[in-house]
Amino acid sequence: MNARRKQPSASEMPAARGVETTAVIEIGTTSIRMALAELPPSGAFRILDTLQQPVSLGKDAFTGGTIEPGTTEQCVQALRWFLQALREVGTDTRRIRIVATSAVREAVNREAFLDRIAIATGLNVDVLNEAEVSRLTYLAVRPALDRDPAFRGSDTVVVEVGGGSTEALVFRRGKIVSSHMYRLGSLRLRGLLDDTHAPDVQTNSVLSHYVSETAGRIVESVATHAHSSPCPLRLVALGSEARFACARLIPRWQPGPVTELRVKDLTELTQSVLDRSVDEAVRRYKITYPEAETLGPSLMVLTRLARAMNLKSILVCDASLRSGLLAEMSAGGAWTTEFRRQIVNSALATARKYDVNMTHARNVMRFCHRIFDAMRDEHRLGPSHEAILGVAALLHECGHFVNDASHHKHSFYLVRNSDVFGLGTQDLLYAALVARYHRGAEPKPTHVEYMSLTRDERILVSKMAAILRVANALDAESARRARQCRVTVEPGVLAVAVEQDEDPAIWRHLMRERSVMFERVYGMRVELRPLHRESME
Amino acid sequence: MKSRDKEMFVNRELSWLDFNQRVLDEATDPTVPLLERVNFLAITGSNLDEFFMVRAGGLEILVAGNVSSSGPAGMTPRRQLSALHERAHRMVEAQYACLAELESELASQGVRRRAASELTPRQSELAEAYFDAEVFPVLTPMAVAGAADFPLLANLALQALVRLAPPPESKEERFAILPLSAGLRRFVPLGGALETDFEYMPVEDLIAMFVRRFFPGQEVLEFIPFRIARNAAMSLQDEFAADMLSEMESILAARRTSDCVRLETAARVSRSATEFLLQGLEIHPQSLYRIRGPIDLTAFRRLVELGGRESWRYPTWTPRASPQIDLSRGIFEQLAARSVLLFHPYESFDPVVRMIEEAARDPDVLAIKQVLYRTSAGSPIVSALRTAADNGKVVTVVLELKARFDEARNIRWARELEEAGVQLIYGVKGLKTHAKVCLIVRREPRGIVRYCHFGTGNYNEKTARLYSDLGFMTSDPDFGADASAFFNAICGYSEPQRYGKLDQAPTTLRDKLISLIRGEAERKRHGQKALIMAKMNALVDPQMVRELCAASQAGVEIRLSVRGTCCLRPGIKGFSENITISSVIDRYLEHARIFYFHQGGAQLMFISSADWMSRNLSRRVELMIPIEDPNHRRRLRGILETCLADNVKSRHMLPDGSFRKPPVARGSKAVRSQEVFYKQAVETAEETLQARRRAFEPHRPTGEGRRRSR
Repeated sequence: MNARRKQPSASEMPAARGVETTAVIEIGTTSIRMALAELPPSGAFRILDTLQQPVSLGKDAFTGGTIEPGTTEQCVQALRWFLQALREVGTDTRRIRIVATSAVREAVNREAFLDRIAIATGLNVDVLNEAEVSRLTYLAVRPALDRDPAFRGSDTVVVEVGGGSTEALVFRRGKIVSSHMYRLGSLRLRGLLDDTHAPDVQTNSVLSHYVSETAGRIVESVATHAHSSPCPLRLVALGSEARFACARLIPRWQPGPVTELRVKDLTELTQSVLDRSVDEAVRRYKITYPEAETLGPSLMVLTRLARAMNLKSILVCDASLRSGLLAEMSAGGAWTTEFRRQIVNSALATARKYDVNMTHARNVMRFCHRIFDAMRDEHRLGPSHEAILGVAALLHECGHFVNDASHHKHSFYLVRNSDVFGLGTQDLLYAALVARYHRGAEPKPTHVEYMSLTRDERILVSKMAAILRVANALDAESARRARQCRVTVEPGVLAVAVEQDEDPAIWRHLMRERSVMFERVYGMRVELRPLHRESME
Repeated sequence: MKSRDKEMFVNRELSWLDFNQRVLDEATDPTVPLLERVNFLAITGSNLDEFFMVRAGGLEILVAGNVSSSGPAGMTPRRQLSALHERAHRMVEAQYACLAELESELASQGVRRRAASELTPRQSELAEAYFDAEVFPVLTPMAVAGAADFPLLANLALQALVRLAPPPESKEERFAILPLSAGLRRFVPLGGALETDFEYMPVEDLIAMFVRRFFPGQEVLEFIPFRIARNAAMSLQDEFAADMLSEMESILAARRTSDCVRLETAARVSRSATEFLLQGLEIHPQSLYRIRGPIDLTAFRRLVELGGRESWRYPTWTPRASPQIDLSRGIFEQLAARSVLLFHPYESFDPVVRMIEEAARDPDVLAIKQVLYRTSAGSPIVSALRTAADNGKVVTVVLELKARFDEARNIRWARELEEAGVQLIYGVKGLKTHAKVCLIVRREPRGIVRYCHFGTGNYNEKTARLYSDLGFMTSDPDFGADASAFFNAICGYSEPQRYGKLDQAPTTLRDKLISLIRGEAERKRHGQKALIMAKMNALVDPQMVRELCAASQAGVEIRLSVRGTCCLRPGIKGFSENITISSVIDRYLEHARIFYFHQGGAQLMFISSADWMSRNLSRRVELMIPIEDPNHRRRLRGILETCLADNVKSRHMLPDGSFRKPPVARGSKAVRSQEVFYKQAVETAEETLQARRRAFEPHRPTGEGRRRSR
C-alpha cells in the first residue's frame, strides 16, 4: 500500500457514540469464521457480516495429530484478511474475541500453532474447553428456543456434530439437565472410513455402526432424566451441515431461528450425499473440500439420531458458537445469573439421579452462597468459583448412593465423572474435590488427586471446601429446619446470625468441630449468633 | 427436447447480425434526423468491427482447431462462419447504399465529400498545402518484398497499398504499404461555397492525389486503401496469470499480432494487388470485403460532431432530477428515510455521483467499495474515490480489466487510483466482474449503516446519458449486508456467503431464474394465472431458452423485450407459441435488465446486470436485485409494459428469426417508449418543482456546515 495513505488510527475514528462494533472469530475444524457485530449498550447484538475461510485444521489434528505448517499459514492468512475487514469498519482489534475449538485443542503442537498466530497477527487465541463450548452453545440456542412455545413443554436434545466430537445439550421442560461430549466427529468418521478402506457398499454400514452406537448413548442420556411424566421429544441440530440441509431441502430457505426438516427428506439427502465422492459433492453442491469431507458423516449422525429418537422431523437452529460468544459479550460476561441457574439445574438433575436429600442439598447451597457473598474480600474468588461451589454443595452427599461408609469419597468420583452442564473437566475436578472435603480428613499430601493440582488450585479447593464445611454445619442433621441466616464479616470473625430454636450449645459445638478448616484457611472464627427477625429487614 | 433444438434456436451470430440490421434500419429511417442517421450508420460500423474481431474471430479459432460440433441451432463453426460472411457482405452493401443516400441528403444541405476531380481550384490549392504541411512529413512507406515479408499492421487502422511498376530490367511489380492512421485527420476540411458549408475529402483520397511524391522516379500503378480486423477472441488464461496487469498489457500487445479476420479494401482493386494482400495476410477470400466508399464508417462520427445543425439532430432531452432525491440536501439522510429507484438517462445520474462525492468528504464514512467496469476518462467518480482515499477512508475498487477494448484506458486509471492509496482488486480469477455495485459504510449514532447503489449500467456518467439503465439506492440493512458479503468474497476476505436478498452469478443466479420460470409453469399447470415479462440485451443461453420454451408449452404467457441477440424463435406452435419477443432500437441504447414473474400475484420484480447469456450466467460475476417497494415495483412494471407496447421504435421477432415492424391497428395510439419515459420524467420533475415552490422550507444549516463551523 502506498506511503501517502493516511491510515486512521482507532482514536482518530469518529467516536463510537454508543454502538460498538466488535467481532468474534472461531477457529474451527473445517473453517475459520468471523462474525462482525454491533453491541448496543442495551439490547441484543446485531451481526453485520459473516466471513469464512476454509482450513483443514480438523483433518490435520484428528488424523495426523499435528497441525501442518501449511495449514497454520492458511490460518494466518485468513486471520489477516479478517483483520483487514475489521479495520475497514474501524473496529478496535484489541477488543475482539478469538477462540479455537477441538481441532486446535487436540493438536499435539497447539502451543506452537498459537504462538505462530500471535506472532503473525498479534491475536491471542482462547482455546475453549468442552464446558466452555457447551456454555456458548447454550447461550447461542437459548434465545431461539425460548421463542418457541413448545420448548418449555418438551424434552429437547440440542446437538452439534463437529469435526472431532459431537456435543449434546439435554433440556427437560426448558431447563438444561446435562451436557455431553462424544468423541464422534465427522472428520473422525471420515478418517475411519479412509482407514478401513471399506468398499463403497460397506461404507455406510461401517459408518452406521459407529454412529448408531453414539446415537443410542445420546438417547439414553435423555431417558435418564425422563423418569417423571413423559413429554414430547425434540431434536435441535446446529452447525453448517444442518444449515446446508435446510438450504437444499427448503426452497428459498432463509436462515431463521428454527427451521423444521422432515426426517424422511433428511434421510434421502444424507444418502445422496453419502453416495457421492468428495469431489462430486464439491461440484454438485458448490461447497469447499473441507466442507465436503464432513458433510456426509455429519448428516448421517443427525439422521441416525433422529431415527433412534423415533422422530418424524427435526429442528435446525441457525445459532453458532459465534452467536454464543456475542451473547456473552453483550451480557457483559460469561457467568451470568441465568447461566449459573442452568448449571444448578443440571447439577440438580444429577443430584436426583443419586437420590440426594434435596432439601439438605439446597439449604447447603444457599448457605454457601451467603457465606461466599459475605466473604468476597477474603476469598477473592469469582462467579465461576461460586458456581463450582454451588455444584459441590448440591452433590456433596451423592456418594451415599454407592455406600454410606466413606460417602464423601464416593461423592468425589461420582461428581468427577458426571456431566454437569457448564463445567469443564477441570471445573468438575474442583467440584469433586470440594465435595470430597465436605467432611472427614482435610487435604493431605497423600491425597493423589489433590496433590496433582497446582498450588493455586489447591488453595482454591481449600477455600471452597472450608466454606462448604461451615455451610454443611449450618444445616446439620440435628438442627435441620428451613432457616434464615445472615452472614457478616467482622475482624477475625465470620458472624452467622441464625434462627435458633434448637439447643444452641449443641450447635455451637458442632460448628466448632466443622469450622477447623475454615479457621485454618481464612484465619477467622465462625460465631453463631441469634437472628432477630427485624434484623432481616 | 434437445432433438428439436434446431426448431427452437436461431443461430447466435446471425441473430446478432439481425440486430445490427435493426440499427441500420434506424440509419435508413427518413423520420430520424439526418445526423442521427449518420450516427446510427457509424454505430453499425463499429459494431461490425467488434463483431468480426470477437465472434468471427472465435469461429476462426474453432475452424482452425477443426472443431466440428454444432451449436444448438445445428450449424458447424465452418458453416456458421460462411453464413456469417454471406450475411455480413449483404449488410456492408446495405451500409454503403445507406451512406450514399445519406451523403446525397447531406450534400443538399452543404455537407459534401469531395472527390479529387470535383475540387475547385481554391480547394485544390488547400489540399496540396495540407498534404505538404500535415501529411507528407508524417507518413513513411514500407517496401514489402513479398507476401512472406508482410509487415505487422495495426488493427482497424487505415492503410494503403501502393503498387509500383517494375523497375527497369525486371518484370516484378513492387508493393509498398503506407500506414495512414498515425494522428492524421481522417476528413480533411476544404471549406465550401457558403460559410455554413462543410466540404471535406477523406485523407486517403488526398494522399492518392499526391502519392507519387513518396516514390520519386517510380511509376505508381495503383493506390489501394485497406484495413484489417484482427482476431481478439482468444480467451484470457487468467487462472495462470501471476499479475493480471502485466498480462492485460501483453494481451493488448497480442491483439496486434493475432490473426487477421477481415480485410476491407477499396472496391476496385487489381487482381495482383488482391492476391498480394490475401497472401500476405493469410486470409480466406470470403473474409475480403470490397468497400464502395470510404472504409471505416466510424469516421463519419466526425460529421455528427459538426457544430450547429440542431434541426438535424434529436431534440435535446435533458436528464431530469429525480423527484425522489433533493440534491440540495444530504444524500445519506434521504436514503436513510427511503430507497430510491432511478431511471437513466430520463433521470439524471447525478445522485449516484453525488453519493460517492459526499461519501469522500463525509467524516463519518469509513469505507467505500465499488466495482468499476467501464468508466469515463476524467470521471468524477474516480476523482471522488481518490479524494476519499486521501481523506483516509478505506477505498476498495474492483477494477475489471477485461472490459472489452477498454483495457488500455483502465490500466491508466488503475495506476492513478493505486497511487492515491486505493486498494485495487483486479476482479476475480477466471471470472469477469460485471456486477454494478457501490457500498458506502458509514458510522452513525444508531451504529454502522451501509448505503448501497446497485445498477444495470456502468459507473460512467457519460454513457449514463446515452444508455437507458436503472439504479437502486438504499440503506436497507439486508442489502447492505449482502453488498458487504459480495465485496468480502470478491476481495478474498471470505468464502462466498449466502445472500439474504441478492442472487449472484455464477453461483445462484441461474438456478434462481430457472426456479422462477418453472414456478410460473407449475402455477399455470395448476390453473393459476402465469406471466413472465423480461427486458434484456441478449437471450442466448441454451438452458434459459429451453426453460422459457418449456414454460410456454405449459401455457405461461411470456413477453420479452430483447434489444440485441436473441436465439429463441418465438411463436412456434407446440414450442414457443406463448412467447412474444420485441426489440427496441431508439436514440438511447436500451441497457436495463428487468425481470418480472407473476408468482401467483406476488409479482416479483428484479433488476440485474446480467443478460441471459451463458457468459453472464456462468462466467461472470453478476447480481440480480429484487425490487420490493410497492411504488418501485409499480414503476418498473410500467417501464416493462411501455417497452413491450412500443410500436414505433420496436420490431417484433417472427418465428423464422427475422424482425418486422409491428402493425399499428387503426385508431390505436403510437407508442414510442423512450419518448413516453422522457415525457414522464419531465412531468414528474415539473410537478416536484411546483410542489417545492408551493411549500416554504426554512433553510437550515446542514450537518456538514455545522461541523465545519466548529
